[in-house]
Amino acid sequence: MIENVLVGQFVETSSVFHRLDPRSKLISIFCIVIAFFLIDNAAGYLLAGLFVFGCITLSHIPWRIFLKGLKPILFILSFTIVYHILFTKGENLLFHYGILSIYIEGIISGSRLVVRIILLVLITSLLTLTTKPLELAYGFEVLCKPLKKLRFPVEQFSLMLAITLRFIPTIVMELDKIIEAQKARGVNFEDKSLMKKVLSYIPIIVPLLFTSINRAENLANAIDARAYGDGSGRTRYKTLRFETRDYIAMSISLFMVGTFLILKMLGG
Amino acid sequence: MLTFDNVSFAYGQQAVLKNISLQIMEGEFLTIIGPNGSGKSTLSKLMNGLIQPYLGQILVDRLDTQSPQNLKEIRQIVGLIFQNPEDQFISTTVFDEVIFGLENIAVEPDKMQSIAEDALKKVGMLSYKDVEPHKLSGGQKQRVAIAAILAMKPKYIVFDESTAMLDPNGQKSIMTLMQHLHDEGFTIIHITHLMEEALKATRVLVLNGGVIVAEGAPVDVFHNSRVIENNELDVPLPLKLKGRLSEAGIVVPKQLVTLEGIVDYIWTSN
Ligand SMILES: Nc1ncnc2c1ncn2[C@@H]1O[C@H](COP(=O)(O)OP(=O)(O)OP(=O)(O)O)[C@@H](O)[C@H]1O
Ligand SMILES: [Mg+2]
Repeated sequence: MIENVLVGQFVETSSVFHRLDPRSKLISIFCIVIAFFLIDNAAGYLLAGLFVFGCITLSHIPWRIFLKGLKPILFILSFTIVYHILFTKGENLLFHYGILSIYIEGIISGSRLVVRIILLVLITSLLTLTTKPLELAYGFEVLCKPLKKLRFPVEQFSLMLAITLRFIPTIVMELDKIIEAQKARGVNFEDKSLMKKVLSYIPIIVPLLFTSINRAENLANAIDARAYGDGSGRTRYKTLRFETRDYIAMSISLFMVGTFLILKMLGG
Repeated sequence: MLTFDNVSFAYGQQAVLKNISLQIMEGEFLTIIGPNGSGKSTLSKLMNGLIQPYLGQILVDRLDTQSPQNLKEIRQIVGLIFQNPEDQFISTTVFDEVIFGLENIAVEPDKMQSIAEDALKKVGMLSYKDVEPHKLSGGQKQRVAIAAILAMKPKYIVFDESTAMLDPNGQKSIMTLMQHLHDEGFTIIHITHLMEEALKATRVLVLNGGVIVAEGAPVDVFHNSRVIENNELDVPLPLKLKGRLSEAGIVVPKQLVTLEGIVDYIWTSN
């Protein structure tokens, strides 16, 4: 469990996506997401589908891992499709019974939306599956640098993100320890009634909060003691550099936006 | 030289340190002992400007800790190792942890790798370079904390009960490391509640109720029964043994303070 949280969803393979600069990945995914929102005809869906299929194949990450990422949204997907089928009115009646009438248009618009969501989830999982959380955070920090002019504390924000990632395993371990300790004292976590269930978590949350506050103070001291200052005037060990592959990736993404824009204009 | 000149400190209304004057010379191994709440940690935080006195002045190699523009340099000169190994590990890997301090003092990126690796080698943690903190023992984390400080090339290293949360093996290994660093020329300031550890120092300082109540060579301090009783201190085992031996008529020379030394003396002296 601890392993899972630390690496996020990252899966190590030697694909080109793993070698891309996190910044170009963030920019590209942003473009692709915009492109996918422009889709409104069958040709567009086909092209987008092929594109996602190609990317996933290139990533060398097994399909089942991508499909696992779809599981949590299964409910939303089914809800979307049922909602559209039941409530979209159209010209071509497919089925009628009492107050229930189902139109072909409903089925079509529902499936379109579902396909679009699936494509978006797959392509964004590609980002988190091929980039370590810390790299992503660093890429994000560098991209946000211009915000510093607006007094947004970019460095501190990035340190905060990094520390959060660092302490997730620690806190998970602590949580395990507290739960064990409270079980040993006879706290019952298996109670069925909701109220009792909620109450039984208080003896876990309170100690966890207490140790976390204590830890935050110690951490602040440790950071200060090592001359972090206000985060300005630091040098960075890792310097990000765009390679040819990064420019190619970003060009392809921009090209996708253009293509979908043209498809949309032709179609509508 | 690290100088405290009539320093007083309070948390709100509660006076924690009263009129402390103290000089720490380069090359010293100073141990600070005293009961809980006597102000030891407060003293250590004053040494690198984490907190500021309300009276008096603290100078680190002539740099006043109360001038904000001195703080970066002071924190590079005075390294602080804390008690809790977990809460001073900021980064996600051992190597990054050492890099963090180097980035803060704006070391050139090209030089960072070799500096960090040298520091890790010194504490014997180089082979753990890419390991995440939750896979390390407490003692290993403390070693990394020491490497992270060493990489910043400090002059003074302050250990605030840095062995307190470790098992006996961890404690011993950190003490040995401390000794090595002192031999290499670092000035060591060691806060501890373990009297056996205090014997290793060149000077011991006893703090109680925010004032320095005794100070001197470890043997002198621990032989002063008034100091021991008034400050709830425990006599280190070797000295206890010497006391019992002298009751039995065997007088061991004053300067022998290790068990090995005493044993050697007894079986060679007759
Ligand atoms: N952040 C704080 N806010 C308020 N009071 C504090 C704070 N930190 C310490 N104190 C109080 O200041 C006094 C001295 O604390 P300090 O931590 O310096 O003692 P210490 O000698 O290090 O004790 P210990 O052996 O327990 O580590 C104590 O009475 C403590 O309660
Ligand atoms: Mg303390």
